[in-house]
Amino acid sequence: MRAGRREWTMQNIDVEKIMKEIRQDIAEKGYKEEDLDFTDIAVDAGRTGCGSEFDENELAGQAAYLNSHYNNPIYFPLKGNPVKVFFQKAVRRMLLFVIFPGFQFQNKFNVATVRCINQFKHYVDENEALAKQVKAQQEELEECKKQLAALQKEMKDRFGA
Amino acid sequence: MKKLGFVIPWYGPDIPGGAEAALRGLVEHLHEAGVEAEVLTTRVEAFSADWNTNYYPAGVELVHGVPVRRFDVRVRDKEAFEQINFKYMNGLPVSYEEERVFLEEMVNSPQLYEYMAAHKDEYELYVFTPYMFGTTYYGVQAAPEKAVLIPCFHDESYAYMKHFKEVFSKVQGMIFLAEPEKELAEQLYDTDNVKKAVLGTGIYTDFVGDKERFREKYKIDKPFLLYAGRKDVGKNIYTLIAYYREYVKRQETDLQLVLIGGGEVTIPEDIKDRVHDLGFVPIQDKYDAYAAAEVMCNPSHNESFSIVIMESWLCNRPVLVSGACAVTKNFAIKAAGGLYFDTYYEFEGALEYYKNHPDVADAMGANGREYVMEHFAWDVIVKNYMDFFQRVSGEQTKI
Repeated sequence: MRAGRREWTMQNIDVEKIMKEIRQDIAEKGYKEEDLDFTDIAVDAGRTGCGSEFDENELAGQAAYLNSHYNNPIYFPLKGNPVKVFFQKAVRRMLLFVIFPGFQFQNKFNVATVRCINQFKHYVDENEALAKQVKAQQEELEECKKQLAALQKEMKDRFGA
Repeated sequence: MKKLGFVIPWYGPDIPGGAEAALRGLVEHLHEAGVEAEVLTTRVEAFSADWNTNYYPAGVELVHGVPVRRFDVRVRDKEAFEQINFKYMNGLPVSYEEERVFLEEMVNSPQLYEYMAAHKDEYELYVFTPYMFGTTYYGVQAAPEKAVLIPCFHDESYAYMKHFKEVFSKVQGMIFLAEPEKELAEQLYDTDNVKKAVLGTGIYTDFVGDKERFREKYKIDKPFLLYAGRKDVGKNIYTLIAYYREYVKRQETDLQLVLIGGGEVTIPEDIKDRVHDLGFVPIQDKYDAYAAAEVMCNPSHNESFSIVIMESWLCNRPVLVSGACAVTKNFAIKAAGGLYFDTYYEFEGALEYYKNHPDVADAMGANGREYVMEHFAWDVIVKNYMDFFQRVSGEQTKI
């Protein structure tokens, strides 16, 4: 420990005390966070868990979910108290003519969205496969270059320039 | 003491960051210290590779002198896994049966588990990292009486799995990277019979930053706030940019913002002339940048250790961290090496405090350096880990 060689040390710097001073100063000045506007920059976007880089696993996971959940069935099973279920069924039947077109529209929209996502995913997969092929060919080319250089050197050594 | 077996889903000489690099550093330093350490893993290349592909050859390979024993990976149902993983990623409820499928259909190697059960007498302990993979969940069950976990827990949906709760209470020891991680484990699991220690991970300390060299090379002669790391939304980089922009709008200041590391970030037009995005820089330039900075800011909410704050401290500069990140906040307080912020005004207050108290800022940097040297220098880490392994195994062998 180098304590004692300088005025401020681990022993006499109290981070919480400094933070308290800072907070007190903020309160005295009457600053309020809600007076600020950061809407043009997505502050705290990290909490959505959505990274800014391409993540193959995330895409695969989200695509798999979309493909199995795009269809919202209007007749989802109602469970619980039989009397309550009876009334729920009755209400549903009565409102069917209102909500059914909306459900149909939403499900058609979902199908189109999922098809688009699937197309993007196919495109990504195809490109990944191509990238792998290109990488393998590059490696092959590098190997060929090395062999050629070695052969040229051997020729030079054996037969001169 | 018999040999130590370190179990991890993938292992290679070049896997960067995270639990993989931390484990590689640990086993290599244990090996240098004369401890017999072996890595038990699958043939998968890395986290980002296909978990169904056996990339490395099976058998034993020496990686920087450490034997690495690789086993075939089980072919998994990727779609079944992804369906459930989607639920975890979006905070949806997951049933006990789905948990089972999730664990079964992730990276697994039954050959590895059979080997571990059959050869357990040859090993003093099996040390598993990180917590959420099949190699840990099923590996622990192959020999719970020899299991030590370096879990790298985060407060995330996966940590709440009932299956983990059942199995992790049976391990003999747990090593944590930071105090808040230990507190989380004690909240989530029954660890009364588990020996626990907060040891952190090793840091390379053998470097010196040169502030003049940095200023000259990058032509930045004004004081600056430094961000070092991947420029990713998940690292909360946009909070830093928004807060910095507000700060320079409200205060008369020359303070610049220097960003180093990979990734892309959009800088608002009105501050472009004072934000220097240097991208990847040579490692020595990174150390020089720490030394030249007024303060290094890590705004991330979700860090399990934060090597960048340790590196800043090693260069004698204080840090400014997010108050929402229990780990970095805890380090800043314990080391007396930095301030933290939960709001813009605290961010501003902290920068103003550093500006008006340069002697305290310098002392915080020096405090941080002392803290890192005392806790995370590799020789300290090797000793502390071996003391813990001996405590768990009941052996008194000295290395």
